[in-house]
Order: sequence, then structure tokens, then C-alpha cells
Amino acid sequence: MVSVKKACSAALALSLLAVPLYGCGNDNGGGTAASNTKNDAGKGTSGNAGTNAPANAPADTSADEKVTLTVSMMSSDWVDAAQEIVDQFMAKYPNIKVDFSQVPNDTNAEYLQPKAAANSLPDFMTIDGGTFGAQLADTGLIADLKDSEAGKNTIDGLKPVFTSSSGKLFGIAGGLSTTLIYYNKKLFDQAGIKELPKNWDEFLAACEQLKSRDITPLIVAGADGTVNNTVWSNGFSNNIVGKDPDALKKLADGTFDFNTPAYADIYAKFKTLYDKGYLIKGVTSLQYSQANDEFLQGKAAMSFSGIWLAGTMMAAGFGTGVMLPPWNDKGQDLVPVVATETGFAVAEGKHKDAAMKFLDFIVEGDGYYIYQNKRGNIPMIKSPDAGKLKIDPAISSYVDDLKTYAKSGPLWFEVLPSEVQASLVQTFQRVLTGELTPEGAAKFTQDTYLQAVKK
Amino acid sequence: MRVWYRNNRSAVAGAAFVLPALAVIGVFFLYPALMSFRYSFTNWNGISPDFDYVGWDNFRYVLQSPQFKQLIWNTLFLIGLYVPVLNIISMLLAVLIYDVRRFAGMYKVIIYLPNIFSMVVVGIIWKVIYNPVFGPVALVLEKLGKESWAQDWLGQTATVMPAMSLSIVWYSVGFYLMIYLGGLSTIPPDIYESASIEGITWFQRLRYLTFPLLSHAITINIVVSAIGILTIFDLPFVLTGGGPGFASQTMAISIYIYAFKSMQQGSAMALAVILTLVTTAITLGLLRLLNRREAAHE
Repeated sequence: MVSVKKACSAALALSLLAVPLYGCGNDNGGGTAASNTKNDAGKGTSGNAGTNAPANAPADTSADEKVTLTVSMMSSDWVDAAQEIVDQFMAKYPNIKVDFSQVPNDTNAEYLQPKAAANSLPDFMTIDGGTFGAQLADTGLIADLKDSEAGKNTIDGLKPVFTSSSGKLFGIAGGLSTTLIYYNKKLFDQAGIKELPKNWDEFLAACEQLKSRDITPLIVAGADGTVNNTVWSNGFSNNIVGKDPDALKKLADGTFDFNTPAYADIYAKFKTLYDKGYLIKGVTSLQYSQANDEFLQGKAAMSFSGIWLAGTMMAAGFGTGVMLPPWNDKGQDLVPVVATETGFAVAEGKHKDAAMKFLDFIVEGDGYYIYQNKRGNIPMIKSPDAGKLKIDPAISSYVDDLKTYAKSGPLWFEVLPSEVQASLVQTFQRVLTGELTPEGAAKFTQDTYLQAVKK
Repeated sequence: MRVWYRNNRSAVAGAAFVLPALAVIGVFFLYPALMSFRYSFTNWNGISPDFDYVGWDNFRYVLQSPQFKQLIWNTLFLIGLYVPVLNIISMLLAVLIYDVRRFAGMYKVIIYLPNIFSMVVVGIIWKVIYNPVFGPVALVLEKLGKESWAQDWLGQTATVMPAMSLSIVWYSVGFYLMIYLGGLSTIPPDIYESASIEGITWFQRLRYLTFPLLSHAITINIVVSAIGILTIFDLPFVLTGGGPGFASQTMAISIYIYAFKSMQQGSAMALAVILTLVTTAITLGLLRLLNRREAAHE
């Protein structure tokens, strides 16, 4: 009797403990309306996870047909604008109802991946350039936008990172992206900084000058992807891309070597800022939104961020300036980050036509100007209506400056394998807390990269 | 047939009551768990319809990963600190509230209140509390002239686990308190009356009467809190994301990172299987230990 009782208890406990596994199990088992769609990934197949690409599903073409369009956008920085775009779109197309979900920053791939596995991607979604979107495209889950109006009118230079290995244009960049340092003009005046630093040594000197006036020099969010967007991307551009023209090719080929002094220096620079007390207190656990708030509250003189925040940062009451992150060594040409902003994609499926209308509306129609005016960023389309654009003159001048540089580097998510991406923030944190030396961090990144290549 | 039904009527009725629940468990718990077990032997990336079976590679990969030792340490730390501290606090609070009686309802509401929030909300609240620049802890220390005492509680390896544990205890103490109060209400009052006539002190009463008579509630709470802490995800994820580095990473967070950030569903499932085995082993061990203790008291 006792053993039966024990067995029952064990069985019950096991049933309850299945909960954590349940959340991770993704198998839609097929059987959807579009389940007969062939997938031509062309790999040796020993099993099937049940994702059935609805590539040939019939599209809605009738203008009067009532359609509910599911839209997900990573729009925390432009939440009001996103809602306005949705409202205006529905006013323009009364037969299309938009079911809009906002995705928190830095979680787009996590949001979309289970939906992709369950064959239930939103009809329209935001997406980053790089491997994740390319896989969705090559699996036939999202549409090739090469021949769409939005695709044709996008600046050609922004297309490569939104193009999969099979040549599909899986997304339209949301703008030209670059990282920059916003600075508080008032605090710079207080510290007596007259000239902006042009290289790493001058930058350290400026930080020291601020610190000597009891002003916290720099804010960087060290607990999320911001640190990758800023410290990593600029370090990689200056230390690697600027010195090795084949670096990106090697990275894609699986032959890149992270375990080098040049790469370790990316971590070392951040550690130097931390050890010298130039970073705001709490940087290791600081997240993007908190970092932005702290800069806007005047808690530090500089915020290392990106052009995607221009609309918010430039409106600060204390007067905001922008400068190129001087991550270059003395005597070395600066290599800025020039990349793409989070873009827009359309899912294959029966609402593809309606989703394409939404894409046109947000990339070329009235929706674009709502989006751009809120963000104050640089257009991705070839001929925008200049009269409707809203770009701060300082940002325009900054972008003009960018054009004078011979070389530029990418953002991290455009080039790194997902395994390396997933470990990057933790690696920076381990360097800051002293758990890893910069050299140890470089070796760890190399090991992770090799595992990814092997897989 | 009729004869068979008449002979087995109670069994059929019992099965009819149990089957819907079993069906739900089977479809929504057991089947996904079994599929997770299957995927733990594949290299599925979570998107592609194609995958290969890779044997024990995922298990080897997860066990040899640099964070695995840290995950085990974090798990042991949480069990060693959280389970006893939480149970001691909630039991003592339950005894005090039960003894005081006056305003008992109000105390229960106040202590239980955090439990009605989502763990995500609690994570955000504590993230603000711990913020070393504008958080209330930093502000109080600043007012007291102890500005240098303000730490990056969530950003240092030495402080992150205790800081995280405190927020988890704050969140969950109300739930366990209710179970202890339920246990206390089943103790016949005449036992306490007899004891007070004998002249025993409050501590003696606690030690020799209340604790032994609460043994069922203690068993339930220890087992439930151990399972809860082993599989916890939401609050630590919002509060620290598992950082700095892997310093506060729980197994559930690690599973999430493998699955949805690193696109390694196979490795995620392998770690989920390991987590299930670890949790089962610890749960069965605790049950055995506590059942022996209960039997000794009886």
C-alpha cells in the first residue's frame, strides 16, 4: 500500500513538474489549411517539427472582404505613433480591422519564434536584419518583398542585411541606423568642455573632466541589447572592420577569430570606463528605458545610444548635442556604425494582400510620416517627401558627417550568429564584475562562435 | 452489460469524474512534456521544419556549458536560503497573527497583497526599489548621509542573489502564511488551554505543540516552495535577466535563453529534462525526509 502511495505521489509530482517543459514544447502537428505547402529547405531531414509554410495559401483580393489583420510591432519608443498609424490605416481601409500587439524592446525574435513554430506569425510584423528573419524567409513563412513597391523604393544599401541566403528580401528597413552619443550641452558647459573628443584618449580625458566636476560622464544600459548596439558595435567597427576588410566575410564563413587582442579590446574599453568610474552607478543592471530616463533627468552628461531615439533625446530641455562615438585609437580613422533600423515584414498567408497594404502605408504612405516624425530618424525610402520629414538639424548634420568616412561597421544582430548574440550581454557583465578578463571574454566568445559554427 | 454496469457502477462514475481532468493533463501537460523529451535529442532550431536526431549531444553541450556549474550553485543557494527563510518567516507570522487575533484580517490582507500581483509587476517594482540612482533605497540612504552605502544590488555578483531572494520572499510569503494559518486552525484549542494550565511558556508551546501539530502544513509548504523556487522564471527574468553574467540565472531562465534567444530548442529541451529530473529528485528526497519526520511526531 505504501509503495502504491509513493508511486502515485511520484507520478503526480512528475505530472506537475512537466509544467516547465510544457512551456517549451512547440509542435503544431501540422493539419492547418496550408499544411500541404511544400518546404524546400533542402536539408537532410530526419524529422519534422510541424511548421508548414503557407507560401501558396490563397491571398485575399477582394476590396470589400472583411479582414482582421494581425500586426505586431516593437514600438515601445513610438507607441503613440504606432497606434495613430493603425487608426489611420483602418480609417483608410474600413474593411480591414487591425489587431495590434506591441512587442517590448529587445524581445522581437522571442515573440515571433514560437509563433513561427506554431505557424501563426502575425500578418505584419517588425523584424531585424540578420539571421533570424533570413531563416523565417527561407522557411517560407514570410514574404519576399523584392518585387513589392516598398521593396523597389527602398535604398539599395539597406537591403543586404534584409536579404536571405536564397536571395529573398524579407524585410524593409525602418530607416538608416547609426549609433551615437547624445550629450547634455549644459553639463558639458559646466565642465568646460569646448571641443568634442575625436578619439578614445580624448574621450577618456573628457570623461575625467566631467568626473572632476562631480558630473557622471556616461550612461550605457548594460543589462540588455543596448550595450551590444553601442559598445560592441562601435568596438567591432573600429577594432575589427576598420583593420580587416575581410572580417565580415570571415564571420559569415565561420573562419573569424574572436580570440585576438583587437577583439578583447572591445571588452577592455568598457571595463576601463567602468573601473575609472565614468559610467553611471548601476550600469550592470541598467536597462534601456531606465537609461534613457536617467539621461533625460540630467543624471549624466552623455548617453550612448542610437539614432532611433533622436526624436525623444533631442527634445530634452537642457539642450542635446550629438557626437560620433570616438572608439578609435589616436591616429586611427574612426569607423562609424552605419546599419539598418528594425524593419517591417509580411507573413505569407491568406491576409498577405491586406498586410502588403499596411506595409505600403507604413513605408511609403501617410503612416510613414507619422512614424518618422515621432522617431526623427533617417528615411529608408529613395524619394521621401522632404516637406513632411522631421529631422533635427543636428541629426542631419551628423548624418552628413557620416558620409565622409571611408569605412563603416554593422550592428551586432546583423552579423553575429544567434548563439553569440544570446551570450553577449552576459559576457560584458562578466567582464564588468571581474569574473572574466577581456582576454577571457574574447576566448569565451570564440568558443561560443565555434559551437555555433559546428551546429 | 447491465449486470457488468451494476457491479462496476461506482468505478464507472469515478472514471467519468476523473477522465476530463486526466484528458486535460494528458493533452496540455504530458504530451508536450513527452514531445520536449523527444526534441531534446534533436538539433531543432525552433523555426525550421527540418531537424536531425543528435543523440546525447544536447545533454553533453548543456552539462559542459560554462554556466551550468553556476546554475547548480544558484539552484542550491535558492533552495538553501529561500525555502527555510520563507517557511520560517511565514510560519512565525502565521503564529503571531493567530495569537494576536486583533486586526488579523487586516494583517492577512496586507501580507497576502503582493501575491495578487503578477510576478512581472513585482519584478518591475523591485527593480525600481533597488535602482542605485533614483530608487527609494538609494534615496533613504542619501537622506541619512550614507550615500556610499547605496549599491548596485542587482548588478553585483555578491548581492544579486540575496536581493533577488528578498523580493521573491516578499512576493510569496502571503501564500505560505495562508497555508500555515489553515494548519493552525485545525489544532484543537483545548490542547493549548490544557498546556496553559500546565504553565508552559509561549516558546515551549511553539516548540512542543505548534510545530509538531503543523507538520502536515510544513511538509506541504516546504515541498511546494522547493518546486516553486526550482522552476521560477518570471520574477528573476524581469528583475535581473539572470545577470550579471550568470550570477542569478535560474534553470528556467537558461532554458528560455537557449530556446528563444540562442535558437537552440534541442539544448533548451535537454536542460528542461535535466530540470525535471533535478526537481523530481529533490522533491522526492524532501518528501521522504518530511514524511519520516511526520511519522516520528505521530
